[in-house]
Amino acid sequence: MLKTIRNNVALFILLLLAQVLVLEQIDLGELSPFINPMLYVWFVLMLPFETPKTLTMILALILGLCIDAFYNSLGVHASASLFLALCRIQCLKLLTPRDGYDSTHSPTLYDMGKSWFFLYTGSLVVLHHIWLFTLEVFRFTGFSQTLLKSLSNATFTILLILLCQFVFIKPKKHT
Amino acid sequence: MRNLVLILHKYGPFLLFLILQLFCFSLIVNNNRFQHASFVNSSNRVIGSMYSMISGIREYFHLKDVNQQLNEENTRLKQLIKGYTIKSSHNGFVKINDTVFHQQYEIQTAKVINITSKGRRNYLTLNAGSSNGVHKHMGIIGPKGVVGFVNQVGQNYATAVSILHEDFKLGVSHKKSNALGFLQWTKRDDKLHATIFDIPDFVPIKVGDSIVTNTTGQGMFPTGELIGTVASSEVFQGYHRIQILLATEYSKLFNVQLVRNVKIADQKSLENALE
Repeated sequence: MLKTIRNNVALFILLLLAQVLVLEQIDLGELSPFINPMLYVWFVLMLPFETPKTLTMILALILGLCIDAFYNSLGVHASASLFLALCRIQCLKLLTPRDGYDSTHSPTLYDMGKSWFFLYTGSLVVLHHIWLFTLEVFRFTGFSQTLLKSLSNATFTILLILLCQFVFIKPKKHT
Repeated sequence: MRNLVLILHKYGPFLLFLILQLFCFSLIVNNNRFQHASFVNSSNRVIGSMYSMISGIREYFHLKDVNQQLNEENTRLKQLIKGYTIKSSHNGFVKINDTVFHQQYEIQTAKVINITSKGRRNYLTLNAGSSNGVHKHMGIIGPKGVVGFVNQVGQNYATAVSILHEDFKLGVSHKKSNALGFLQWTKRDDKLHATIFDIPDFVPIKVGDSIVTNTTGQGMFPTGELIGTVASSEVFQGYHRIQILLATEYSKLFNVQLVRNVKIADQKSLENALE
């Protein structure tokens, strides 16, 4: 329990710093609105299965507010990651394996398998990005442009999350 | 009563979601009125000092660019001095321009420690704050032209709205004809361009013409500071709609100058008296 809390706090801080001090500083000129991954959502995706619903939402809100403080966009990321938290709760309910979630498992590629992981990460990241970028322009005109932006950014976010899985998470040996 | 408890139990998380979402939206709406002061932004101490640490490292990688910009600016200023002396020798008499008593703008330098250019509302963070005499609505000029204006001031840092911000509006003029218009960063523009509205279609506009500041705005900038050059223009309902190429390159902006209008209090009190 204590270990879980410690790990998650470390992940929170690391992802926050990586997002605002590394990813935001990358400048690709004309393309940069379309290659602007939001790696911080990985924190919400990686929370343990048994996290209470209320706690998930509150943690997501705090993460969003921290990101907003750096981006000078008060409320936008907070709202999007709150939405992500709600989606995660629903998504976990829909994707429950036949005998429920194993308490030793965490939502990673190694523990849950390829198809589960891609369905979970893919759908949640896309939903989050659409919400985020729609809120950023704050209107529905030119929605196709917003949608294009969300989808291309979501692709890069998913790739980055996949990369982080391979780099930072060791596959557990099942005994 | 029992039903109420059951409903709360079943839809509790969703209700919490709605309440928190409402809170987020109120934050967004308040923050959108972008003169509105809020505490959580990059002019506060923790975030400001973090950004200035990072920019300290980043600076080394851009020394070449900074040097180049300074050189270019020096050349430009030297040319100005030369041009001025030739002009005054043509006049029959020497005009004494008492700069001490007529000086309207004071200039102060600051470093850009963070800059965003990806969203629809872009900001800069500067390493000067109220302790350096910075206050709200001071204009910001880069080595090549207008950058934006200060909107929030912390003790040691300040944030500024760049031209690349949805709500940025500035009175401008076409240098050749002095025709007035206003500048806005519309949805069609990327981070190199902006759009000028309200210049009547009988004013001849050519590609490459300069667009400069004038004093009809908020009195934030001295007259004649370069904003950009005309890239293309089209006529729309009797007015030009001009897309300009911004003079400032936001990806290569490191040092800026803050402009303080010494007589702004005078101007504002007169203008307020009219209302």
